[in-house]
Amino acid sequence: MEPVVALDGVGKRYRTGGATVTALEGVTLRLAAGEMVALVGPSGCGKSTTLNLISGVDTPDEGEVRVCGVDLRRADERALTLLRRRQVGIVFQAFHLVPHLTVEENVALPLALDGRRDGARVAELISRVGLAHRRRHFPGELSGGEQQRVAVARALVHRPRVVVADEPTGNLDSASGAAVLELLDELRRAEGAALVLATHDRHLAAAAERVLAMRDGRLLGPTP
Amino acid sequence: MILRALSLRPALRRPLRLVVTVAGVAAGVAAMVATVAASRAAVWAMREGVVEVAGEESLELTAPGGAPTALLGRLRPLAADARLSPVLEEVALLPGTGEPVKVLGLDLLTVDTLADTPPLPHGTLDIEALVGRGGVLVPQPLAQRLGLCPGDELLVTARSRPQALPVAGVFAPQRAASIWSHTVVMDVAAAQELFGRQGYLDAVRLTPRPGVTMEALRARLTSEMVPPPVAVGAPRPRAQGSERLLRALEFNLAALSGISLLVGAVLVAITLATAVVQRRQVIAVLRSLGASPAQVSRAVLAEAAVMGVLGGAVGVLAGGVAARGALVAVRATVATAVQSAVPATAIRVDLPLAMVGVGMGVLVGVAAALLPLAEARSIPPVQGLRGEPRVYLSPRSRRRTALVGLALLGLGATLARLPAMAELPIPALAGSLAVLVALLATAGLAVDTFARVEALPPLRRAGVLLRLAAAALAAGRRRAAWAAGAVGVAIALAIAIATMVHSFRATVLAWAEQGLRSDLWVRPVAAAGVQVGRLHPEVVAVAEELFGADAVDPFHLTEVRLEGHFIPLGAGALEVVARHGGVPFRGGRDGREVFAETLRRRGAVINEPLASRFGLREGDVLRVEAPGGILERPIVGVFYDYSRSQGMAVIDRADFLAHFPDFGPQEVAIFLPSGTDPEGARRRLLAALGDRFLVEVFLNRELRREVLQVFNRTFAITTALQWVAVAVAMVAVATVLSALLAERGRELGLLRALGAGRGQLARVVLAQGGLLGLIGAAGGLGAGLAVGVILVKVVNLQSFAWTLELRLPWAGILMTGSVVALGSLVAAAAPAAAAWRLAPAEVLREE
Amino acid sequence: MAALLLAAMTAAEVWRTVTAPLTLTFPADHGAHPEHRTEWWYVTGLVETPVGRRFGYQLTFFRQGLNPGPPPPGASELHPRHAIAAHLAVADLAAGQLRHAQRLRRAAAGLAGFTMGDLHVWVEEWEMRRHQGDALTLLAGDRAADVSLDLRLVPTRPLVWHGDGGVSRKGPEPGNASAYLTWTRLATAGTLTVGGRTFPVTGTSWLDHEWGSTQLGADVVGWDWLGVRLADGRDLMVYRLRRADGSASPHSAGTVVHPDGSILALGADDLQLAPLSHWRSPRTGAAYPSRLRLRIPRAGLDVTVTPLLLDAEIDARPSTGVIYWEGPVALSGTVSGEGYMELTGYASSLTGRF
Repeated sequence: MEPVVALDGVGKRYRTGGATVTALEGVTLRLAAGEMVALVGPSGCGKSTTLNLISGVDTPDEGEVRVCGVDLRRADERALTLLRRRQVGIVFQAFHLVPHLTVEENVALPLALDGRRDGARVAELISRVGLAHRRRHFPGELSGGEQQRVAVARALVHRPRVVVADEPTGNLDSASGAAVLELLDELRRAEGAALVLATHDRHLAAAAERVLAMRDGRLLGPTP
Repeated sequence: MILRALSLRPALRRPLRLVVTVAGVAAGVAAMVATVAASRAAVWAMREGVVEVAGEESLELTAPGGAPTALLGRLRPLAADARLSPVLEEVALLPGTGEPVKVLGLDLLTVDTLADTPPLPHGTLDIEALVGRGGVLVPQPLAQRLGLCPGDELLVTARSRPQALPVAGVFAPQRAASIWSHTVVMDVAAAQELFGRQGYLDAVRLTPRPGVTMEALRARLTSEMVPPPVAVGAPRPRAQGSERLLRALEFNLAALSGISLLVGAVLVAITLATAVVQRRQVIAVLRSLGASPAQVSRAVLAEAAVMGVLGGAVGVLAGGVAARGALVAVRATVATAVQSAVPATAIRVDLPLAMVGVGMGVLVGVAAALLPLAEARSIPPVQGLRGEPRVYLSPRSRRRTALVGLALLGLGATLARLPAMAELPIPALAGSLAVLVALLATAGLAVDTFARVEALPPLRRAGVLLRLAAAALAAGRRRAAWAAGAVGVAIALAIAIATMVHSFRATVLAWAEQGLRSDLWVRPVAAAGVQVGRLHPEVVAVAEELFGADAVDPFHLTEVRLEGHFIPLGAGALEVVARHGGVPFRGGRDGREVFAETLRRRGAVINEPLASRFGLREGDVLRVEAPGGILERPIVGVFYDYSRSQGMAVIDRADFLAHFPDFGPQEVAIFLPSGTDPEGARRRLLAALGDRFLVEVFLNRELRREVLQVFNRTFAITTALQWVAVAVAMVAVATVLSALLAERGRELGLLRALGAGRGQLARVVLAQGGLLGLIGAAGGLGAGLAVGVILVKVVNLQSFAWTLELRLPWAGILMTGSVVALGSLVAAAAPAAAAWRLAPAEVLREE
Repeated sequence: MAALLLAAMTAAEVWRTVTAPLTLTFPADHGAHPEHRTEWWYVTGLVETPVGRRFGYQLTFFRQGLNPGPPPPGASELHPRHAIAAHLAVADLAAGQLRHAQRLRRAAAGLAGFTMGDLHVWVEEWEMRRHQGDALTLLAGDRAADVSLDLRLVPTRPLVWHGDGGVSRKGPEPGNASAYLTWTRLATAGTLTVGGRTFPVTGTSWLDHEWGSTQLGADVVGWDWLGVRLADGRDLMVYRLRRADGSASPHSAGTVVHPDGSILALGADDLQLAPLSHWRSPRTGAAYPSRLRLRIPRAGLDVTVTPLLLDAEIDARPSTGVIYWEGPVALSGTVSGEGYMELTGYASSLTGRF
């Protein structure tokens, strides 16, 4: 079976002023459908860059990235937009809910961007993340844990084949962090989506089927 | 959903931002609409007024200084083909207010006149009162205002003499904004007698009878009927008076409208662009969730368009109201030309203007939104989410930007040196625009340079806070760049306008100081700033008797034709002026010497506008058509004259009275022997004139004050625009800073958590605002002074032929600087407060 | 006799009045008499084209004095001292249509005026002028009414002095009189342009020249005037001054002119004029006598006067301020004849106007 995500010898560099910083180098990674992989490593090791490449918000400078059959190096802006819109769900560390939309509207946003409407699906996900009673509230009125549960629902509402989560619990205390991750895992299993999780917390990473360590933009291979 | 996420929901939940944005757009549109509407009202009053009175389908015979009455008899052979009507146009003043009222003298003793003059009552008129007793027909609005009924008397001053004119009838102007509302009609003979114009007419009107075309009528005019210097024309060209004057005036107003438009556009652009920047993060989230760039663009542009429509509509309404204010300023400028008031009812914001106003709101709004939008949609979403690292320009793009800026500046300098196009300073204004564009183009470079200074040793010592601020600017360089550019343009406009007004004012003051030397100055009682009406010759006689003929300088004014254009010809007692001098001449020549030579050679002096319009200079011969034929006078000197943009020639009074009838002078200047108390002299003069004449006598200092007042009134719109530009600069700093600082709110919170005090935080915020303001101010000051120099030295010279001295408006610069500083402070306050409210614990957790 | 002019602008006392005996010299007295307030030269006539198409015409010049004294110092030359008004009316008998036009101007600046040594009076391009041998030329026209005439008139009978040696009493006061001279028959030839067509015409005209200052008595509201040439060679002028109750003023009068030039002056008692029917103007609502019976036993006359054109009402309010009826008439009865009739004071009273 073809993997949903395939990275081959991927490199990525950023230019800051005169200096060039290598964010990724020679990263090769495969992700099967429904699989959960955790990327671990210290800050600046390239976890977020990898996730950005997988979610199609960024493109590689070298190597090949294929997500759900889309070659990111050759994809145009339109293809990237469609990839993000239909195949990928993202959970951010900083939640990034749209402040002026209600819980319900935030969750419905990915569908709306695609010109779709599915009230039942939205209601189902909201109630599965346990926020049915708060569906008309605005993000500012929610706790951090609640906000991230909304983000989880939003990441899954359009039945993506890949979900990326970048330090999804980084802004939460450990109890609510664990709860959110549990919820995320449970939901994506139910939906059959692959999950890539970036975290520096090895306890959280333990839940993954594979744990890959990163350092200085390189993949160190499976860690025990 | 996107529109809801980006605009609608925020608008409903935070209406203040919506209100501020709409108000910003509205202010810009209103400034433009007000200026345009007021200018058009003034020009309309000038142009349509005469046509409305004369009728569209008629010919007019005119002559410089007035056509002789006998012209009527010469035209008798035309009577079968045209109705002939003598026309006398004068201005009387209402005694209380000095308000000018047009007096139209017509032949009321014919079958035709009333038929040709629509608003006048048909049927039986009180011919006995009208023709026998010099009665007047009064327009209904005026009658109502003064509480007049037929049989009452209308009190006016004509040639400074109080007169009671029997009201023979009241007529109703057909339109609200009609020139007729300010026109009283009387018999031409009575009008001639009232104004001492016996023997002269301002025009003979020929209205073709049925079945006669204008061409046929023209063809029937023989040279015998139209002896030189009589000329034939349609009323419209005459309405334009000296058409150059009208064009200059129109252009002045149009240029003013253009500046309003520019200021308004910058305001609209800043407001809407800021609105986009503020939502940079939301846009990034939407993009990462799969919103296409087109979806985001559509939503942002739709919002800009809606804001533009809303603001435009509000602006058009507000502009209509503001135009009444603007008109006060315009009125003084045109009163002399129109010879009557510009009615406020002449202001009409019609559909095309309203559409232009709303269109400007939308266009400028959309254009403004495009600028930051291009950036927002071009960067990968991940950067929008992350906040940016510091990014510096590569040396290559620094060079390229600098070159573009230099090229634009060079273009501006070159354009400013080009001669006027069609007598209008179009290249110079284009040059000014190039300078402003250069400012916008190089703003990025400037921000980049400022951001780098954190690395400089002195700044390194300045502490971490300032470096943080500089780094923040470097991170948001693109946005900071256009923000600084916009701030710069607004500041530049404010400073350019301030430079022009200040230079103008300083020049006029110096000119008045030098030129106005008489101790007393007599003129008819007229509304301030309105120079209309004449004095009775007897006033001159009384003054000469009191102070001696060698102390009295009456100034006469008439019209002559020069190369086919009507120009004013003035006359003064040069012998008197030659003793006192004062008038500044080109080349620094002593006025006394010039006037003595003018007397000796029976020559003329001309003002600067005349010299430049007709390419005349000292030593040339001035050839004008006067009632007696061609008048040739050597030009002895060219004097500076900031009281009129029309060309004017001046000859000696004795010379003048040998060629023109004495209808009475416009004003009389009196030079007292040294040591005489001017107040006492004024009392004596007024006592001698008694209640036979209603005149105003100014002391020298009062006259100078009056000059200043007239100046201020004339430049009221310009000054208002200067303040709008300053306000725009302030709003620009405030909105852009709040947007940038809001993004950095977390950073501030972090500092707070790390133990930074409020004062320290305030300093970071102020440093950032200060840096931005500094960049804008530095660029704006430079560009503003450059544009100011172009306005003063090129635009004024080309459109008004006024040589002005360049004076730097230190007060204006200081004022603009402090207002922008204040704007930065206000802008910084809100995000700083937000940072304080942020709980340190939460900030740390987020990080 | 005629319809007249503008409202009085100054007291009548300062104008000279007409009193007998009248001493006149010609041609000077054909010219204007500006020391009198009112004066007119009134031409009526009947002309026909070579193929017999008939027209009646009227051309009148009025001079109205506005200000009798010398001009005040500093007065404008346009200051009105006299106004000249003129009426032109052409009765197209074939078409049954009256075309008329009017002019009014102050006598100033050459646009309108009169001379005193001889007859020359003009307003704008209209004029009436006497030449050698008492030949008169008339020139008038109007584009709006689409009518113009260019005629030359030569008297074929001597000048008639009406009343008491030319003094025609109109009221009880000594000054209520006018000087009244008539050429009853003037051979007429020239062109007439009507509705765009120009006709050569010939015929006979009648000229009244009358001046005075206060003519009518206070009780007179209007008059009926008739000037006709009779088939037996006599000419007849009568006027009946009407009082408010419809009765004739005792100052009504007339003149019979015999072919040899001798005249018979008629008094009010000699005249009986009675309307037989009326015509009502659709424009003003005024009812004018349309047929009249005129009996003058002293002259052996009993005739019916019949208008050749019913609607000959002239609205001259813009120029002279009055509405009157003036048109060609035919006489039948003891003798036939034709001429012009004038009916005034039917649309409104003329009291105080003369």
